[in-house]
Amino acid sequence: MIKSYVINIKEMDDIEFALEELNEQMAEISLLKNSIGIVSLNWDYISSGIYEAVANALPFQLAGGTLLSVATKDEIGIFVFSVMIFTSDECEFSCAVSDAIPNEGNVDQITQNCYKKALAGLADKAKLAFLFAPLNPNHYAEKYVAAMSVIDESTPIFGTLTIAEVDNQFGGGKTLLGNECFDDKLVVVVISGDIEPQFYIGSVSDESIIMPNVGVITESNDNFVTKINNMPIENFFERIGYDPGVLNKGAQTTGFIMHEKNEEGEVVSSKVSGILSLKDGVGAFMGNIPEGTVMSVMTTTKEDIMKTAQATINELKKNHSEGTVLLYSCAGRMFCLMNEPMKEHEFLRDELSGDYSFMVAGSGGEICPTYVSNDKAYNRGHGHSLVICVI
Amino acid sequence: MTIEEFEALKQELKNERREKNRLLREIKERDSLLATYETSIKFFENLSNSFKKRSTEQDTYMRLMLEHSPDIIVLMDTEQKYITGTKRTLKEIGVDTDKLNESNFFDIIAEIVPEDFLTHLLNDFQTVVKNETELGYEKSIVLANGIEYIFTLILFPVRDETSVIIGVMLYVHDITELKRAVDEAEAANKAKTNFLATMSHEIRTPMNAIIGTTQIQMQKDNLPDEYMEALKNIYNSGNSLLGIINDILDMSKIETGKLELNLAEYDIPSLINDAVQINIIRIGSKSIKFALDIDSNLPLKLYGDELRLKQILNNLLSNAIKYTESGEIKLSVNHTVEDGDILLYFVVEDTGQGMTLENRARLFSEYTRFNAEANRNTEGTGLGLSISKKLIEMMDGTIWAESEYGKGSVFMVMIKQKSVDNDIIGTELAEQLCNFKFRGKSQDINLKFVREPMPYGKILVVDDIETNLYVAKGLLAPYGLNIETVDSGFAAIEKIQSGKVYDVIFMDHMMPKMDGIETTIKLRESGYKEIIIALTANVVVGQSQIFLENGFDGIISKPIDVNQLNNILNKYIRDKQSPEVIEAARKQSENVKAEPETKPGADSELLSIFNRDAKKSLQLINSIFQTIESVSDENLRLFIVNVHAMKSALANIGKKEVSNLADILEQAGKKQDITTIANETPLFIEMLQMIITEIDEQLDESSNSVVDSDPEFLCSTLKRITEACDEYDDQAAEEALAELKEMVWSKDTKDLLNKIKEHILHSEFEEASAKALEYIDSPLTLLESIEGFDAEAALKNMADLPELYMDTVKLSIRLIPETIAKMDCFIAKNYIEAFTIEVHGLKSVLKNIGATIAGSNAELLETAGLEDNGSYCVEYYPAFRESLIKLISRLKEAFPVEAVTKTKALISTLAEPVLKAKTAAGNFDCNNALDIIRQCAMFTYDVETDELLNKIIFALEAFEYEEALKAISVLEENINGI
Repeated sequence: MIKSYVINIKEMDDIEFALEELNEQMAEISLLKNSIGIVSLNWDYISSGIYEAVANALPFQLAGGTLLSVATKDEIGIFVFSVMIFTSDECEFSCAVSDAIPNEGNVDQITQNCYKKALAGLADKAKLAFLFAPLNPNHYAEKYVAAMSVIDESTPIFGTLTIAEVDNQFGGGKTLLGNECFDDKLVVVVISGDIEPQFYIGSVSDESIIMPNVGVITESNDNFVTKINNMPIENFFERIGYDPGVLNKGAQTTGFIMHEKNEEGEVVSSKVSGILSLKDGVGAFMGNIPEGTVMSVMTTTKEDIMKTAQATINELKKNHSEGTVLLYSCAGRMFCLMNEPMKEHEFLRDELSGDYSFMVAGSGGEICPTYVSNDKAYNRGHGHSLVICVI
Repeated sequence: MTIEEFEALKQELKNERREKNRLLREIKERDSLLATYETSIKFFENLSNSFKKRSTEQDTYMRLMLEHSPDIIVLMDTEQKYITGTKRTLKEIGVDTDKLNESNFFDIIAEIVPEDFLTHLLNDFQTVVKNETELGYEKSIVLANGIEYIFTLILFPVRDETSVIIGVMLYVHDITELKRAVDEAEAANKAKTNFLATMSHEIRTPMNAIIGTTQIQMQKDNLPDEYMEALKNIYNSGNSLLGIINDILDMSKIETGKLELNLAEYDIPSLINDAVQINIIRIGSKSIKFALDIDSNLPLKLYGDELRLKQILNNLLSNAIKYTESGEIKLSVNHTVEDGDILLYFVVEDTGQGMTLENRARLFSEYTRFNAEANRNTEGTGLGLSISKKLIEMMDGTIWAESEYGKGSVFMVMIKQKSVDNDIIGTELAEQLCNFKFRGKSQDINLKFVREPMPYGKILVVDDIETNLYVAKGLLAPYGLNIETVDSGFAAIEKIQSGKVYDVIFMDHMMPKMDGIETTIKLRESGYKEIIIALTANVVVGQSQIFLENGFDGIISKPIDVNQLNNILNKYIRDKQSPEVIEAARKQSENVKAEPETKPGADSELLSIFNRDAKKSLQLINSIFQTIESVSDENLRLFIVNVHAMKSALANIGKKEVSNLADILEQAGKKQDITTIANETPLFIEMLQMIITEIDEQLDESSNSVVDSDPEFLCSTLKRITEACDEYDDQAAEEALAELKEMVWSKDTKDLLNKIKEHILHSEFEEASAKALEYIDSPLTLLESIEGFDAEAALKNMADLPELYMDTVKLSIRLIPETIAKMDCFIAKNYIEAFTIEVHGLKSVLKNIGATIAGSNAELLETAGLEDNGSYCVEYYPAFRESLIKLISRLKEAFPVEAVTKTKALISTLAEPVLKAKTAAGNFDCNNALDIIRQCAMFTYDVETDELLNKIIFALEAFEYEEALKAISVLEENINGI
């Protein structure tokens, strides 16, 4: 059994004030034998030195990453530094950081080594793994989870791709472990003990497709697409009225749904996939895009986002009347909320402020299993989704 | 400032700084949110641009579609106001599309559509709006332009995003041409189906006669080799043709889903053996080794369609042989078991031409043959593999092929069959098959196969067509069976009711008044339990089941297959006897070589049979036709049955045109098309009557000779009859008549003899004598008696007009002497050219009257004259002249001598004949001398010479030789004096 607490550091500039806030909140918390803190914070907290000071002041490891926004019971906004503290007498926690993820090439070995290192810190089998990875156009979440699942296919993996906004540009954020932050490393946290994590996913509705079947991927390599409808990708987007430059902004309001088909032409999967970068004739998508995949353009309205959030929370509440809840919501959803970018966060805060200990963060890419059985966890990466882990 | 104040100031500064940072942070947050918002707007602008672009494109496409779509698509609001739609076809049918916008659509089209249709459409519109439902239907309407259209119309409600109906979409598609094409296609398909169904019957019926009759003839032992060879060729060609017809019919049945498998137990070794034996013969003189590889564990019996399996095997083997010039062909047969079923595998490998990849792709297409140039002499329609593939698929099997061009091919077939029991063929039987030593139930192709003698068997054949009875009897006769035939179902029932029992009744299907099925039902209802087999030329699917369901025990299709017939006889007659009885019958007749019922002149018999049938049918058809305007159903049915019977009977004797006319009447009758029957029946009756008459004459002529066999003997015997009659000696007269009876006479002569006989019978001797003299004295008889004279032929050349002929002969009696006088002159003066002209004219006269030998001699002289061969003319003219003189005197005998003005002749022409007459008179040969002088006296010379000739005649007539010789001497002196 795990107990959880959420602390927030509002002070962004003065370390002394920040630490005062921290001490005040920590004085209210009784830590158990083992503890760990899952961090969600704005990039500025790192650059100001606050994060390092807080990490050094805490008696346990911090792990997490920079995210676009945070909502907890007491705080909500972009400039928030929140820590969800897990503490337990029975459960064990182990963390590891990987070697630097190269821009190109296979990342399996690096990922698996990091996972193994984390797992090695546990006496028992892991029941839950957290993964924090940098948002990198060359590597998408499912690469990491696929590599990790090879090591242990039964442990569910939950997490996020880190994201930051710097000078109005959205891009990859930093991963954090201890008092260090990394541009290009994975951070893995594994938990063993008597826990039964449950997972919920809210994605896009059927009405989100606004331009069905606009194109067929005719040339691609993994997540890099070079031709759609036999046209160079940039020409294709121009053809359908898209400014390719806009697509390079990073997080988007519009994404794409990729319908993967089998040899008989039947659709076997439909996944949301944003485009992370589009330059030099190559579009980097957030997932493997095989040739022959049919692409539809999607976006969601404010109503759709709130509807899917409501439905997901309802599902959660049906099964859990209390508990520790960690939520990551895609930055794209925030953009689709237009003039009310925090509306979903506010909604979730209002829904969970009762008997739940929770932390919501705006994510660069969601990691959550779609299904967990005794033997296997179907670990996947998601886009434009709200993913929830309940412990 | 105190320390406390300083600390307080410091704290205040700190607080202010914190507040400033907080405000800055707040601004930054808003800035960040603003940036997020701006980014969102950019993305949505991007999306909006994309939408606009697509919308513009969509609009363009939509506009093009609306402008050019041939269909009528109209969107109206709920008040029928036109919103948008296609215009092209609306314009074409006369709608003023310029008035459409914002107008009531129905008001605009009211000008061009019929009012009732408009009302109907408006009602439909209201229904769609009110009931929120979709309507669709076909409608044929005549527009204001007078053209009839057939449209498919669909009306459906159009809703907004809240599902409220905001309008109606009308979709109209012109299917006029499509309907027409469909009707034509259906008619063509129906015509094709009818044609093929008709072909099945029409071709098989005469094929039955061809193949059946040939089989019967081939059963004879004493046929010369060349006749047997010819018959075999006819038989094989007939079977080939039947095979091609069957292929085409099979294809048609398969295409229309009407081919059924006939499942029964069959014997695997026999199946393989039959297929191999038939095809081994095809190898002929090719240097091909045929090998068999048979799995000894093959089941002995299986359950399936043996005939179709043989057809498939036959096709594969015959193709292998056809396309292999030398090398090897191998047939392998094995099996596996799957879920209780047997999977039978046939593999045919050859070292033949092989196929290219391209050809292999077309292998199972219809009418496909490869290497047309190289294989142009290879028979086949190209349907075999296509049919085989479809048959295999019907049997839940597969066929596939591998091939290499120039090297050979392998065809593999897998067919699922049901097992019967656990018996296998075994090693010994498999070896026999592989060594071609298997002797099963099949017979080889030699039509003179051994038939079991079944003198104990009783057969009844029921068929209204005598031709068919003839063929059936012929095929059954060699078995030594007791065969009875009847020509109707009624007669068959009578036979049974009279207590007759038959081992097998062969029952035709289509018969007038009561067909084969009805007859069989009645027989069964009466308790008749023996075997009844259907005979039918209508090989239509579904019929077999109908027969079996109505009391038949089996079916034989026409043309009758002797193997099938043999199997039935063995099964239902022989196999029911004890071995002792069978053996006794065999001993009695080792090989049944029953004298076929055919005899020379079968054609005549067929014609005779036909005429009997035709006269009966003609009478019936004629009588029904008289009341055709008010014909009853029963009479119409009789009409149909009789024209149907005539159709096949006429086809049997080769009267195809009239047979086709009978078919037209049959079809008209079935459709109750009285108009066609009324129009065509008179012609049919007339043509049928002509055929009947022609056949009657032909039959009469065949038993009667065209010419009298011995006119001279006839003449002399008739003279004896007259002498006998003059003496009232009836016995002598009858003896003379009896002599004449043994000989061959023309019809007229036969009539004459019959009349004479009749007179004699009634002791009317004078009348009998007068009759005899009519012939004796008839000019024609006399002319016929002249040697080298063919009066009969000459008469025929004159359209058998005796008077014309007689006049011609009389004229020639005058012309010939005149011509002789001219020729005498020209020859004497050596005017050969003039002589040739005269002899040319004379030639025609002589040939016209039938003086064939004289005419030929004239031709020879003419030819010589034309070749300027005067010496030939001079040399041979005297003999020719003498023959002409004799001819004239004989001609004069045939006709009463009339006062004829003599023709003047040269006295010099008397030199030779007078010398001859002198010699004859000197030898007291009075008659000869008289003949010569009388011939000379046919011409006139001078007064003295004419008197001397008469004097000589009188003296010779009085046998006064001395007086005659004196006068002859004087004449000689006169002749020599010139």
